[in-house]
Amino acid sequence: MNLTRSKSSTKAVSVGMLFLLMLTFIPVIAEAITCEEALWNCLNDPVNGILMGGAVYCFNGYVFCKKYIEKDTAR
Amino acid sequence: MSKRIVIFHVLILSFLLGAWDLFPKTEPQIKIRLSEVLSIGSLEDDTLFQWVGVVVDEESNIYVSDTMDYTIKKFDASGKLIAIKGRRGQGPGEFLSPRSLAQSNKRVYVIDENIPGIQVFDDQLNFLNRLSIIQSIADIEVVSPDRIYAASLSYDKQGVIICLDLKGGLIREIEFGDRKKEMLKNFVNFEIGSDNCFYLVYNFDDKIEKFDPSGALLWSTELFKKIKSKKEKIRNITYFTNIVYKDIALDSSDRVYVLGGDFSDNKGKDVYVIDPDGSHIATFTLPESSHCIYIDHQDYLYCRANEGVTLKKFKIIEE
Repeated sequence: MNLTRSKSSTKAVSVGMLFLLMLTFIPVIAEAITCEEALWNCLNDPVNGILMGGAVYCFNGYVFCKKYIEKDTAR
Repeated sequence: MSKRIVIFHVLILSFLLGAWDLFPKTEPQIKIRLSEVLSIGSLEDDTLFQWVGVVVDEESNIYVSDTMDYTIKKFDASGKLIAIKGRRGQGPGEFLSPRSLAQSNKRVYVIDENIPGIQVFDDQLNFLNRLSIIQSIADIEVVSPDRIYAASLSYDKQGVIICLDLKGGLIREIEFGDRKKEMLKNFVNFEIGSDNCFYLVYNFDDKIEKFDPSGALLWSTELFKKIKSKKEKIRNITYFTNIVYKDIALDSSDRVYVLGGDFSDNKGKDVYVIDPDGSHIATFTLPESSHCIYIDHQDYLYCRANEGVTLKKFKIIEE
C-alpha cells in the first residue's frame, strides 16, 4: 500500500515537472508560429512566390516580426 | 517502472544542464546600470504609436520613424514634439513601412521596408529628394555628408554593404557574408566607428564582426557557445526560427553594444558590451524588451518601452 502511494506521488511529481516544462515553452512556440505563419502566407502568395525578390520582401517582414513582435518571455 | 522514472528525471536534469551551457560564459569585467533621463510617448497619449527607427543629431534633437501612422517625428532634447511629416502612400514624403533612420549634416535619411530607395529630408523634416536604389535595405549609416552606407537586401547582393554618394550612385561595396549560405544568414545590422571600421551583428548567426575601412576582417567573435538556430523550410526556401542578435550600437569610445535575441537570458533585453578589440566586458539588462538600441553622441542610450508606444532615453552609468 505504501509502495503504491510512493509510486503515485513520484508519478505526480514527474507529470508536474513535465507540465511545468510545457508551460515554459508554450509562449515561445506561440510567438514563433505567429511570425512563421505570416512568412508562410507571404512566400505562398503567387506574387511573391515567383521571383526571388519576393522572398527578400517576405524575409524582410519576417525579420521585423521576429525583432519587434516577440514578448518578454524567458527561453 | 521506477527505473523509467529515474531515467526520466536524469534526462530532464541533463536537458537543464545542457540548456545552461547555452548562456554566455565569459565573465563581465565591469558593471553597467541605466538611469532614465527621458520618456517620450505613453499608453495614455498618441505621441507615438509604434516607433521603429531612432536617430539623434548634434543638438540632441530626436528623430523617430513611427510605422503605425506612416510618419517621421522630430522631438527636441526635452521630448517636445516639434515636427511631424508623412502619410500613407508611395509619393514624396510618404511611407508604407518607415524603418531605419540616419542623419548627417542637417539631413535625415529614411528607409522604408516596402518602398525601394532612401528618402532624404532636411532637419525640419521637409522632403528634399529620394535616392533611387533598386534593392531593399536593412540598415543605413551616414557618417559623412557624401557617404551613405547601407546593408543591401537583394537576392544577388547578399552579404554586402554598399557605399553610395549623395545622388545614390554606387561608390563601392564591402563584402562581409557568405553568399553560399541561406539568405537569412546574411541579414545584419551594422555601425561605423570613429576609426571608420565596420561593426556587424548577424541576426540569425552567432557572429559579431569588425572590418577595417577597406573591408578586411579584423575580428569575429561569438557570445553563445554551441547554439543552433532551428532551421525550417517553406517550399525550397530555408529560414531560421531563432533570432540571435537584434541590433548593434557604438558609444563614443567605440565600445560595441549588442542587443541579444532568443538565446539571451532576457530576450530583447540583455545588452552585451564588447570592447573595440572584441572582448566581452559587460552585460546589462534593459527594463523592457526592445527591437533596437541606439546610442547618441553624448553616450545616451535609447530603446523601446510599452511595445513601441514609448521611447526611453537612459544615461549609461559604469560602476
